[in-house]
Amino acid sequence: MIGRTSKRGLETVSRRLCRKGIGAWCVASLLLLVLSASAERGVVIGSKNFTESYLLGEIIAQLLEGEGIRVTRRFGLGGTLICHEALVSGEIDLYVEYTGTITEVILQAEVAPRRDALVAPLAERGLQPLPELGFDNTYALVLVADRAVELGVARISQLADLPSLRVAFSHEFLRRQDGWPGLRDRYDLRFQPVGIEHGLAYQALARGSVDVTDAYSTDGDIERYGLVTLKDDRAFFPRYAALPLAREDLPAAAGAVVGRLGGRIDEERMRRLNAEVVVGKRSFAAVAADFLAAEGFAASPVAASTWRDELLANTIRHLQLTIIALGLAVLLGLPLGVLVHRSQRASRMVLYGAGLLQTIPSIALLALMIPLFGIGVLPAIVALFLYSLLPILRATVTALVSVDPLLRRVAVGMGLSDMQQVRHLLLPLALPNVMAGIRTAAVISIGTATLAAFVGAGGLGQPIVTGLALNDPGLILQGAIPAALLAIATELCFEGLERCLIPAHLRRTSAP
Amino acid sequence: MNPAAVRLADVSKRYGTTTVLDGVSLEVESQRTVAIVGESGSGKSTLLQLLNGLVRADSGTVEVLGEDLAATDMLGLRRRIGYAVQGSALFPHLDLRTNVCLLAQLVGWSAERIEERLQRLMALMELDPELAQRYPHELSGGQQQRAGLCRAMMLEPPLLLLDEPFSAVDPITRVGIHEHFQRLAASEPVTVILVTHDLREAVALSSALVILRAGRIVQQGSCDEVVAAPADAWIERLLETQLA
Repeated sequence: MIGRTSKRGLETVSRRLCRKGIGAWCVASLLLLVLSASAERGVVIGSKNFTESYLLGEIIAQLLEGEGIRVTRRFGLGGTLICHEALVSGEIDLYVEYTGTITEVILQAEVAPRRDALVAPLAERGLQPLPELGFDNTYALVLVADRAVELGVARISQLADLPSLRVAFSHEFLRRQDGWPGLRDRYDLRFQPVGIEHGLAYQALARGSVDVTDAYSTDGDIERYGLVTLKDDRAFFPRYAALPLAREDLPAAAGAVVGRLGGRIDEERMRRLNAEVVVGKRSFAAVAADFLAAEGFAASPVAASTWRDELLANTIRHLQLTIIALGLAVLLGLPLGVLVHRSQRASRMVLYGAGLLQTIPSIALLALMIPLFGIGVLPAIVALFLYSLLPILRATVTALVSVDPLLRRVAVGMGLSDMQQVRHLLLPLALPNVMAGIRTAAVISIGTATLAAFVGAGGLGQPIVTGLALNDPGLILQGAIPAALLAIATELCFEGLERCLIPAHLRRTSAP
Repeated sequence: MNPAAVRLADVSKRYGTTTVLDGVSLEVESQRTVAIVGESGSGKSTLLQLLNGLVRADSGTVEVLGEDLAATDMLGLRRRIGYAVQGSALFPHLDLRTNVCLLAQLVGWSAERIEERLQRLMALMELDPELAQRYPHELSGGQQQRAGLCRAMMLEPPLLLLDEPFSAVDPITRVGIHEHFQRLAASEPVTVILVTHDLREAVALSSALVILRAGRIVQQGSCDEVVAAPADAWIERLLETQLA
């Protein structure tokens, strides 16, 4: 032992504990994740992040559970590409897709948007369309009924005469060939739409800050906000019949059970089911259970998970994501910083590299991870890890570079080896700044991890994503408030940690 | 005559186009205290750093404690050379005790041996035992300087290099530390090479002077010799201004 005072002893012990603790925690958590991933997961059902997709996913899940088939839910995935990627890579076994989306986005081919026409091209990708559910959820342009009267519009073609209209479309609609670009050409539209999160568009519409937005014809919100749909008088929008899209290796028994839903839900029915969730504020599970009972399917008992259980599970997952990512970033960033800090060029290159990663918007970084790591916890951890790297690296390099050169000269002169210099001089002196860097990274991670739900990693982003889909501020706050509290708790934890690791006179006096 | 602790033969060092040392040859006998004196920029600090390998010679040979620096394990050699610098450069995150004992612990000295050596050095330097728990910023300038000497002497090195170690303290404290240093040098079998710009300090502490100007040795010899017969007008003026 180097130190004799109890303070020093504590310092050394806690430092050792920290080092071993972080390593052990990372290994244990990764093992746990791998184990839980490889455990019997049954049929994995995905959904996109809007009400109808959640609801249909839940209906299918309960239907299978009612037949005694084990199910894992992976709901709220952020869009068609993420769902498709997840399906192809086997992360999920099925999700509900729309025929128009399959032809336009997935196949990008001239195929009729009907199930029978899709079988062959999908089979080439190892996928199979199960029977259509019975409704066509096409795109529609909607506006508030009063405003429609005021403007005197009832058909899309009439919009061409109104170039100053305020229009906001969902991001996916803005990009899709069967969305805005195609619509604009077909109808000769000249207004400039802005992009908006779909769940927020209705509020904007109701508040009158937007005139027109895109909607799905079965949206429960159409009734809720008293909207009217404009007639697609030049028949631009293709057919969007809903059907469960599954992998070819989906067990035949499960496929047969899901197939029983074929033709059971018409447009009117779907709109009512959606409205029960969106307007009636009922849970997906309850609405799905009622529907299945009304259709005479074996009712599976709805496990009524309380909001407390969910909060706990989400918080634990959130902590797992951030702590593993942060731990890995420390394990890589600290040694890397020590390694490169002597060379100005190497430091600059590494910092630029890490800085570049930081500039990629977090949701885009998550999306980029999907082709490499699939969906779920892994891509989220990798993305959070990459985000945490810069603050830690920068703090380490800056702190090391600013160690008094005279101290370094003496350390070399008195015969400390390179490792001993790092261990006994450089790291202890760099510690206050390094801790500040880790603290920053931790807080960033906790914030960014709320986006991990878009790639199916769960966490406190789960209620936020669902809340966005349902346009439910209460649900959004259920994720946002704990996340904010977690960030504050993290700050406090680090303050305590700094107090026990760093002698008072070397502690930074002010918070960042 | 004792064997040489340090032997330099025709050593030169350049930084870019600036010649810092130009054909320096020098021998220092064991257990002597030699002062290298010169103005700033004369190359005296570089000369000192050649001896513990912080600076590498461009040409010529450097032998320290019988080993040729071009072909030796520097780490092992450095641990046989004490090194103290201006302002003491104690590690700010370690208390006095840990600062002084760090290296002894790293090379595996027993706790008893470390404790014994620490007590002896602190006693020689008249450092109160209770100061051992203090951090450097809790010590006076003179205490820091003396602790720096303790650290340099901890491993009982046969050679001690001092780079202007006393120039950061006030004149009165300095006289006190001079006495401590002399007591230390007298009670340990150690060769000391002291770099200073203060001729008065050099004469007070050392038995021989090496006078350096613009990278060349312009005179060397015992203090008496140099004072009695300055080699040129510049040295004469140096002696006049500083020793008056």
